[in-house]
Amino acid sequence: MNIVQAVRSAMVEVAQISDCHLIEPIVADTLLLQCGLDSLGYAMLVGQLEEDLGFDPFTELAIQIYPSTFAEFVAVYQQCYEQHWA
Amino acid sequence: MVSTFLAQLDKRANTANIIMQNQVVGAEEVIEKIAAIRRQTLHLYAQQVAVRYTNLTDFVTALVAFDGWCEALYLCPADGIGELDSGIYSWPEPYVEQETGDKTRLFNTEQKQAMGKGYSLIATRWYLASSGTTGAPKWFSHSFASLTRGVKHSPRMQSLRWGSLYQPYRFAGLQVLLQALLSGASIVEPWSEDLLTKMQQYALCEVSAISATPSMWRQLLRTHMLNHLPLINITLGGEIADQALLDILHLTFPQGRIRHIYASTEAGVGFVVADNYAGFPACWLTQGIPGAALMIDDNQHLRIKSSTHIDPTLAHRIDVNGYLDTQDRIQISGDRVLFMGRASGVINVGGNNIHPEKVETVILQVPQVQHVRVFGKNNSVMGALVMADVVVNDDADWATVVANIRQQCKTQLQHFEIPVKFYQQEKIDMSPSGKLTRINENG
Repeated sequence: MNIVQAVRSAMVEVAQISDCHLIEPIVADTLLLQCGLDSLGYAMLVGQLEEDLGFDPFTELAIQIYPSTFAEFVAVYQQCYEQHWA
Repeated sequence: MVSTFLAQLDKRANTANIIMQNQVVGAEEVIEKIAAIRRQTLHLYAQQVAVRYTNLTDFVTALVAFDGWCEALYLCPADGIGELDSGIYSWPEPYVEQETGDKTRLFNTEQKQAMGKGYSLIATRWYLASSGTTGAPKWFSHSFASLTRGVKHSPRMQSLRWGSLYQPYRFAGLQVLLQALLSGASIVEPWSEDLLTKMQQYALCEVSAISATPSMWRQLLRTHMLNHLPLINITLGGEIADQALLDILHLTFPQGRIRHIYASTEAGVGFVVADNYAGFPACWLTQGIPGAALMIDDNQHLRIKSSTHIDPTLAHRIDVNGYLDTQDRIQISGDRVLFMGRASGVINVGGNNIHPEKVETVILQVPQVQHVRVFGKNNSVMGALVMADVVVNDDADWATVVANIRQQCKTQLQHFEIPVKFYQQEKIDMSPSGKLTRINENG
């Protein structure tokens, strides 16, 4: 499973549904708050990824620091994915 | 004896402040303007006034001037809320004559002159619109006493600088405003809508107290800028505060005082939980809380009996013993009472209440849609998201119908009310009485 690609695909899908415009390019240190998704869009992204991947790290992991950047966000999903399939 | 905003603010006038961009306005400055405003607004005495929010200082000044002066205050955003009844004045007053057909009255000189002398204070009704409404807002009335029942006074509270993330004309925002000013503290009005910039401004102003919904707190945590603030007072309200969020806030601010507030626009101030655990202690159901008694009814709903004013339109939800059905489902788990969501099917998205029936009505206007059921699905970011099951005609193209539904929703609903997902169904279950079988994880 390519988590980065899954996250990128979900972002594009959510942006289309919610009439948001993603900034380009989205790179590792792009701040999620500035990627183009509003707060509802971010919630939709987490919901979409739960449907696509079958888990929600924000429910399953005892996250102590919320992800701020795209790379941190992906890392949280990668960590959760590895726990699922370890 | 009427207790007014002016009288209460006067007690803390030497310390209470409103901090805006390049400007600090003391409560004393606000109070100094009141007599002049009332002299200029004799025509508003004992009248109903819609106070529109333009900036924090002017808004507070108007509220202080008109509480005890006007019969009723309707708190509105700058562009108003829906269409107010004729006979309700608008403040700030328009500078130009309004066109025929506008229902907002303008005062006239004769009216002013007709006013006699000797104005006694009035027990003003405060009207606040319930959240998430468009078009026809639902107004709930409060007294100044009921709005300020939960205000805490202490040297610690007086030393705080509040940053509010709520709109001051909404219930939660007004609560923050009143808590800040009546305890003699300061409140900061950010001069940017951008969250990152707002956080920089809060850091600059050394904001030490923030009140926000759990969804907003998650967003603030994502900025990684919270620890630039000397936060010692952390308040959560408007949604269910879950243990994971309380834990992370406690971890981030071990010295901070974390309080989650149970309150509703309908019922006025509820109660505060400050032990860092989700829900509230089960013993409160038997012991009660200051100023109110609590109970769980046969439907597992929380009921509250409070001595303060409750809007008369809620009379049907008050039992013979005076307990108001809050419509909040609760569950006793060990020594805690946990909130399980709304019984009415209302979906809480980041503190905004969404009525499924309203959304269903909009979707049913779309050709090819036979049947629809709107429901909430739990979401770890916003508490819940709105979803919809839809049954369409056999010959309908699903993608086209969904596109049409989205378009229809955009014209009639706020963005958080629009379902984020549509699921095509062959049928939707009905109860034996012919009603939709509601499925709502969020309550």
